[in-house]
Amino acid sequence: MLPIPQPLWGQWLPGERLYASGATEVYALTRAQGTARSCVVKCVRIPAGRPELLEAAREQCRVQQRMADSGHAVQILDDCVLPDGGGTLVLLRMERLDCLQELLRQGAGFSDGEILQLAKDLLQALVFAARMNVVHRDIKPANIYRTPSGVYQLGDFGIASRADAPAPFTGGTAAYLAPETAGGKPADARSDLYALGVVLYQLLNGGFLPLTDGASSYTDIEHTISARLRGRKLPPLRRGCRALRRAVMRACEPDPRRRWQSAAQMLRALTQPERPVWPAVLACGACLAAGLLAGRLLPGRTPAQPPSSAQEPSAAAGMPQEPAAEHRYEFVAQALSWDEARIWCEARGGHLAVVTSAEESEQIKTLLAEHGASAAWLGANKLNAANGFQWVTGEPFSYAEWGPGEPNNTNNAEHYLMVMDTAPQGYVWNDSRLNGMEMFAGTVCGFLCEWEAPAP
Amino acid sequence: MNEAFPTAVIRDAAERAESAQALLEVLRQYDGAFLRWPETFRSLMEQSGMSYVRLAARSGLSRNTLSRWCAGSAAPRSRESYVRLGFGFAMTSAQTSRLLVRCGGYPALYARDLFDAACIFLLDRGGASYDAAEALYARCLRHLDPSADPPPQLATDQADAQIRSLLTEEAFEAYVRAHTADFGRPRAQLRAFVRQRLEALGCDPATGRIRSVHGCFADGAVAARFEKDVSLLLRHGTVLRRQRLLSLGVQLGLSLPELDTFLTLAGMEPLCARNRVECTLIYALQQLSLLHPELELARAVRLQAVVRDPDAARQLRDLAERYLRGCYRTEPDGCESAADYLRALLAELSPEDADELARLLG
Repeated sequence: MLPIPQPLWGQWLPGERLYASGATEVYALTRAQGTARSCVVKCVRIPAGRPELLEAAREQCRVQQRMADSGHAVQILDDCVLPDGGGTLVLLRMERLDCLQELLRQGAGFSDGEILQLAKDLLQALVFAARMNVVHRDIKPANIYRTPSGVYQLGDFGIASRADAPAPFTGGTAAYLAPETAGGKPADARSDLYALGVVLYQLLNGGFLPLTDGASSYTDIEHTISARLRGRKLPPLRRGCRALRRAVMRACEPDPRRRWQSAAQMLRALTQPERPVWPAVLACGACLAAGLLAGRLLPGRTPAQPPSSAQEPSAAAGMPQEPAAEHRYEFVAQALSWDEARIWCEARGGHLAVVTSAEESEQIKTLLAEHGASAAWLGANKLNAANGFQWVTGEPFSYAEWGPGEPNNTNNAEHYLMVMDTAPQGYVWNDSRLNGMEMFAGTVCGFLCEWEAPAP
Repeated sequence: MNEAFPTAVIRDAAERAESAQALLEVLRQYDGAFLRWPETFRSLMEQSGMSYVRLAARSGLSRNTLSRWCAGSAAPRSRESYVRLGFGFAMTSAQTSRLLVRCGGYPALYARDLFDAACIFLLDRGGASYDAAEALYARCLRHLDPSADPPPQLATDQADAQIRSLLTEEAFEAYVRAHTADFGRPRAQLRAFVRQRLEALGCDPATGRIRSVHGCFADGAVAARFEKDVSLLLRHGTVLRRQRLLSLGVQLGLSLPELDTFLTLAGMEPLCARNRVECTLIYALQQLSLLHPELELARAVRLQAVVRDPDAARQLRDLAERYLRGCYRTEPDGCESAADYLRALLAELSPEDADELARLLG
């Protein structure tokens, strides 16, 4: 229980403890008389002989008070400093809000409109912070709050600093840290935008960090975070409106020079009306008409199915290929691990490509040759060694085009199927490590996704 | 957690501290680097992106329990909870062991315990649940023959490596059938270590007579509250939780390197400077060996009478001779044991640190 006189500020009674972490605790507050707005009190214990910590807590209050004018930062309603044994207790009264991290943990879903709203609200907070020359340095779901009226606010300016001040220490949370900050460079407004980009990407990715999903192992998550900190680009998003997707992808650029240069710039991109897409619609219409005509002229063949909006291929990933009877393949030129590639495809309603006949094999070889690809993942693994290689779809693994001496399972670690270009044989199959695509760095390599065409 | 300071740097600073004031400065300087459960758990939740419902389903823990841990109002108590979290977060066996050791204060997964072996196998293969580990354990239990008593075939690290290389449950069951003896005598080295230290404490240096292990508890050489724990350890190889183990180590009068060895044999990491109490213990034991060499000398003389390993006996003889020749000066502060020295230190620590250390001393 709190070692403080009660009631606080004349009328507030501390209740249950909601949160505790290190020197910080948060308690619910109820009003001694009447039921007004619901509040919390944040208590920060400062040990004796640490005047710099007390000063840091006061600076946090000052920054947050000024930021509250933006309407998108959590407001401190009351504060006081009390003696606590030999040390000091700093008390801050704030409105009780829903924490985004807690909402995610409770399994709350967010519509595209809500995510866009969150992006705009936090960008307004960051525009205001830029005017005050403040960098937050720890934007993450745990520091984002939702008011009862649905407005999103930025909170916890515990490690915020002036943009022109030297960084006090390498703080922040690894999963949301910009690559340049992880590399030791001082944080600036662009690193806050990267962190916000990752938060938005996470929300558009079902609550999971980029390149992960519910089936990712702890090791996979650690690898993807360190890969991002080393500068790996993220696969394109498939959810959300086009403006939001483009804004998020640019915010998540590993190179800060290619990112939005300011929150105001990103906010403008989100608030401007989208450009008309009539030329694209007309082009699509023409393609569809041609496809339908071909379908009528060539009975037995299913016309090309344009992908649904959730499966729309990106320009970077290449155009969808002419389909066989029931499949559509796509080559994605990104050197991901096999598991990341699997997630990429499954997140878009498809799966890594499955090859069960010579006809399908020829089709993917043609596709790879068109892209000049040196290697690509296919959708089979032998994680269950007793059954040998298994296709991700569960179809029988009855057709194969192994290269000479393959599969050889070098070091007992090659459990994933890859197709690779070898000089005399052309494209052959090879068993490879989870990160086997790293061997082809510097060449065109990636993976093949497959979508089942809808029934005619 | 602040990773800016490697643990070795903090340990070095604690070992070099020359006074309680210098220790307090170390604790103050590295305050942000000490391990705390709520932060660790929240960071795991943040990275996994899992909801309480999903993690609860994968780990078999209740949703309310998980939210209490996240809020910092409670922490897992049982070893089982940590192993369940390992399955819930889809960790490997090595990652789960780190969670057990660093956050829970429990020994790492142990390849010569059948249930732990099942967990090692399933965690490294991926995609399995805690319930699957229990089911596999139940299936394998019938392969063990309690009456058989052949010597173990594999060292623990070899057994660990073999289990990790298995790919199917059938292969795991075949391994259990083939290595029944390996599951029969857990923690033999740890038991020998403890038995020798107890015998050394009970040894009369004048006559060289060694009392029984339990004689040590009867005459108060070791506090009676440890008798049950020691009995469980010596009879069944059951390892205590880290804090209790440290407490026993202090009672046994172990030196800093000996306490590290004791922890390692128990499947834990050596004293970790990222823990405030252990950081204090590192300082205290280092100071004790510098200020009171006579305690280490007495321990070496007593141990010589009970060790059977010729190399260990020679090292102890060398140590004793070095002390006797060196004629080290002893601080006249009436300190007769590590516990005495730690009690004297309590008055100089902050109330929180002193409370934790007092709990360690019992």
